[in-house]
Amino acid sequence: VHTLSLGANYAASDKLNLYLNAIYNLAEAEMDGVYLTTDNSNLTPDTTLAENAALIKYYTNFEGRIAKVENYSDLEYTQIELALGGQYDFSEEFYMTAQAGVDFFDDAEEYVYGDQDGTVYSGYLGFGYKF
Amino acid sequence: MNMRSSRIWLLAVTLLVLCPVSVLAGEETEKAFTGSVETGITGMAVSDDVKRANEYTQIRPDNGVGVYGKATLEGANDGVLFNLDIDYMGPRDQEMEGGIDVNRILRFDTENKTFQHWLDNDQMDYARATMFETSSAPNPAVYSENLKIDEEFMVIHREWLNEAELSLPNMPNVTFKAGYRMEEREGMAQAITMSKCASCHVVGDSKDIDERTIDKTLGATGKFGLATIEYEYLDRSFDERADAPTITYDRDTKPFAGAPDDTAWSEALLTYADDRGELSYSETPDSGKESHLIKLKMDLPKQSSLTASYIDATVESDKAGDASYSLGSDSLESDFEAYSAKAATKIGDNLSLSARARFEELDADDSVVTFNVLDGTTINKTIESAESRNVSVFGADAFYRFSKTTNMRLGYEYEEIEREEEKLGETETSTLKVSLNTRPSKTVAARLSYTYQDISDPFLNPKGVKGPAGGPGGFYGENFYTERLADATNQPEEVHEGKASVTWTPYARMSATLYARYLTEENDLNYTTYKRDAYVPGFSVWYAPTNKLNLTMAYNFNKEEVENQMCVGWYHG
Repeated sequence: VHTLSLGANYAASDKLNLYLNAIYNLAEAEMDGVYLTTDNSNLTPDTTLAENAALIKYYTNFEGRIAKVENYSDLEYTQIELALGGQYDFSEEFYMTAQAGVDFFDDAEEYVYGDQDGTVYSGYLGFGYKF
Repeated sequence: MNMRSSRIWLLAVTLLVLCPVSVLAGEETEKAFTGSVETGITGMAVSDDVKRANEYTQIRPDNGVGVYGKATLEGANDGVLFNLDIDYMGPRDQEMEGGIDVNRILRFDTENKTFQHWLDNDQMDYARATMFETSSAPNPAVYSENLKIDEEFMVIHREWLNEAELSLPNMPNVTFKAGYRMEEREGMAQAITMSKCASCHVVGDSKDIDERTIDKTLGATGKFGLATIEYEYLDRSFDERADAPTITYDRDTKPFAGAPDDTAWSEALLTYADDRGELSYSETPDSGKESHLIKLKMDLPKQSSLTASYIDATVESDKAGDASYSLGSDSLESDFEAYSAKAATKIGDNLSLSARARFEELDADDSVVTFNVLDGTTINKTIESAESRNVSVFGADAFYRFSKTTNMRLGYEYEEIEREEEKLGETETSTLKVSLNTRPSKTVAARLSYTYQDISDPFLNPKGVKGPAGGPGGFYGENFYTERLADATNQPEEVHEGKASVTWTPYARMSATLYARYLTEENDLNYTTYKRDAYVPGFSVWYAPTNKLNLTMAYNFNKEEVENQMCVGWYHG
């Protein structure tokens, strides 16, 4: 997992203050696969019993069936969060504040929870009074 | 405005009522209170899926436009201090903190937080990857279906904390304390159950969540000469007020031609069958806890101290059967007692020593399980709780100051866990810690630490997974179930952990820290091995080139490698 964060706060003037926050996150995980080396040669199922028919076929070619699994549940996603905002003071009492941001999620290995790609644009605009 | 979101405003009004009129009226010429109010609009636009990109909701939970409000208020007058901070982004994202201090006699703090967490929906479309070839293949097939594949699950968390302290003028050495905490989780989550023998048919549905946890605390702290005594009583209740989901399991099918088709066979090999009707699952039992905590500290001459504590706690969990099934007991109880003591002293100017001991006893109810056998008989088996145990801990620490800029800590701890269930064994852990702090120059500070743990008989599942295959006749019953010889755990027998960090502060406007952590742990059991390595390097920088500009940057890398040589049965094993 790589996580990088950046932050900047800038007083552009006595009345205007700006900020920028950014986070980048890259997560990766992988499985090497399943290896079965157990010796099954000692298995001595009773082949005359009907109830064993399906299971005998299953176990006698177990490693072959495991080999059919070509891909495992690897994980790879990227998250980016950006927020830019600021505050402007009209006077000592009255001010305006605003923020705009984007949150981005890219799921490169969708698996258990389906496609979770998404982008969220958000923001607010407000006015305040100090007393 | 619903009832729950109105709580934040109710709290604000309550605090304002509690606040003496003189504070708000501003009797003095100076401002008796300061604050701010802010309001505006919020907006959100979502492309594709919102649940990960906005997992812990900020500003809004989803698409749309709303209104927000913020307010702060602080006051001080005539020995009364008052503060209030409200942040309301919507009914599912709000925060409030407030407090009042009346002449240092009465102190009351309250805090309320609400946020929404989007939950995942397991699509359950992968179970056939290993077991299912074609519908006509004679293989054991796992079948899964998600009945709520398009449902969006989420839970709203609410926590309300209240703490009050009372110090009476005629008893200045005693402080009385009371607390009330309520935590609620409300929403909908995925519930998964399965039927037929083992887990051939897996079904995903939804379940309502309406949980409430309430903590009530009462206590007091008193200072009597060299001794400080503290007592706290806790009463906790947990209630799940939503009904558990229900399911009618599949009709029991004959696993092979000629198999008997009767209830006894179903009950023996299948979890449940359709003749039971609707059954509840994924049920969270209600529970309660009561505890008493007593602490004693003696401050002795020459920077020495003695500390002792005693805890007595009882936890009870309740779950009743219904018309379709019964439980051996509707209530499970566990009792916990712990005693601890610590002595610390300083020898000379540079050496500090301490020693400690702790004894714990956890006694939980046994479980009685009834098995139905194919011949119509039943077997009752009593299982000791894995929780029940006695724990003994002994430790000692030393701190030595080589100079004003360099010091070292050395610590050792021995822990023994003796479990009531003998098959789970006794775990002994020896932990050695050493750390060095130094400041080689005015601009550089460094810290190094190393921890080693030697653990014998870690908590494990004895004979939990398959050993060498083989056995007489029959099939998986004899060849796999009875061949489970391998102990299984991911708990280590040996742990090494090292940490290092260096901070460089070349001048007042800049600071940089470089750090790294490495951990390796492993076990080597009778048939299996387990190993985990973790590498965590990183750095952070703060730089302020001018009074008007602040810059920060941080990077963290985390890599873990796990190797588990264990054969876990995928189906019958």
